[in-house]
Amino acid sequence: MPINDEKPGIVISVRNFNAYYSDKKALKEINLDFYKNKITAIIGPSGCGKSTLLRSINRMNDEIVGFRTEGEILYNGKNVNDKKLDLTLYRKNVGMVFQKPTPFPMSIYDNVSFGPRIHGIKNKSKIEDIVESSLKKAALWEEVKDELHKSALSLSGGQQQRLCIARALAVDPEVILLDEPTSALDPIATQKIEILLEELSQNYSIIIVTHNLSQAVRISDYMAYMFQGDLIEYDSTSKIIRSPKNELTEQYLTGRIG
Amino acid sequence: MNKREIKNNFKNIMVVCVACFSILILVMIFGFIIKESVPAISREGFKLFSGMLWYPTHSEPEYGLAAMFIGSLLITLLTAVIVLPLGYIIAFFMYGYAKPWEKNIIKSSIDLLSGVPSVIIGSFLLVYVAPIFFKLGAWSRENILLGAVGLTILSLPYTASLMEEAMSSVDKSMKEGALALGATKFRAGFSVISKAAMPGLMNAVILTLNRIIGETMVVLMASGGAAIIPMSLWDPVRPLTAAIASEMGEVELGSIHYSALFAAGLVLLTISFILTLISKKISRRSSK
Repeated sequence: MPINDEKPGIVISVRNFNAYYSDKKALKEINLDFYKNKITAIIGPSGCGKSTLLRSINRMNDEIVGFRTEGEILYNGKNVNDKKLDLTLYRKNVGMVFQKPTPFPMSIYDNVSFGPRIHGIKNKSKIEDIVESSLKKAALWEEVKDELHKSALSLSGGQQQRLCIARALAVDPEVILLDEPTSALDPIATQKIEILLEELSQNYSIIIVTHNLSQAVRISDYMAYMFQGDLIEYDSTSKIIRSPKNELTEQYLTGRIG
Repeated sequence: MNKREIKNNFKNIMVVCVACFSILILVMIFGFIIKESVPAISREGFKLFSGMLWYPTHSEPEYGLAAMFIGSLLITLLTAVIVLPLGYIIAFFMYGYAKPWEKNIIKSSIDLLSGVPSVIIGSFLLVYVAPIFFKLGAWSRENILLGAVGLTILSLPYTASLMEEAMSSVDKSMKEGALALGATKFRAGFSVISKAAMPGLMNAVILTLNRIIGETMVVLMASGGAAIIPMSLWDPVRPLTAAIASEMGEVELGSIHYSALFAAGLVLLTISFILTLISKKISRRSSK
């Protein structure tokens, strides 16, 4: 769907994209562009396909038996479903943070350095720098700098989620995908993450799936509303909020579809 | 008391009775074995456990369990060295790589294999594998390696499925977290999932050891009968279980020999008890 404002650069475009779980069609002819250094929120009621779309972007559904797709998702012009794509390198550029914080059962330091190490960085002081700067970017450094070698599992839920964001930042991605990153967190931890995402959007392109409409309104620059596998409306957040074009969007925004 | 309370109390009492019954059986088994082994322990003293010589039917009998005890440990160790890595590799493949149909085939063959009676595995080893070992240089038809191969066949299904279960029980989000950073399936399985599954994997190791050390039929048939400490893979070995199984039927009731066999049983029971305790402790700690 076209956006009428001045157009920022496009980082990911979805073209005529369909997705199926076995026989069930989960995404129908999706067309949309995600912009560079913006926060795009994908919203919609449960089962509308928003998570499927997000997971399709960095191919997290590859593992699911019976999942298949048609159409294209282009990252900087390259088809991400290309068999020749270097998935490791691609996922380094397009990172993902999940609904449930997923700290690995190791120290905070090892969690953050996991990514850089698998991508071949061996120099110890360089890794230390990356760990420090990533934790700082994720606004977690001050809280954990004295206990980097403590188990990551000892952190609170909100800290764990920021650790996961730090871990994603540590491999220096261009795009960060977030799948309902705050739905398991309390309001204070949620607020910290929202502030963090707004800061990060200066340097990263962020795509966030959220159940929480007010959160989407607060932090996103663009908003995509999905319903039953269709992309109903896509525009800048302010426009959608002020004057939704589609009746379904309006119903969702006013709480009649939930 | 109204009707519901009576019903509730009755249920509670039933549960307590059944639970006490199983505890009672355990205590009785321990008590019985200790009682039967007391004559040998009081007559032979510490020599019973430290003595290397086991000649219970000689005119001047020797009742040393140490050689057989070490034999049990060695054959368990040898089997563990084979079966643990093998089981882990199978579990790893099933967890990380196998397609659903491949997993089905592996699972069904594991189930089938685990249902094969140990006496059939023993016969198979003696008839088909022993001659091959003979060509390779074995001097005894039955030897520790043959026994270990049998124990491997016997415990591999158990080990592999326990380990696979341990890995599968790790939350899927952990795997996705690793993959999302660009980790390969191998890397995610090896450095993240295996670490997260460590309590379960350790539990699998201990339960496997427990099973190997208590196994009787295969070692009785395939590992030979000499109560010596094996110095090479071709040497025969006589684990405690094999000694008990082969001698208990012919021994004079109430004799020192009889009692010494019960002492051997006590050793086995103690080992198994300790291993079970460790395993419980590991799973309890991990569930915290």
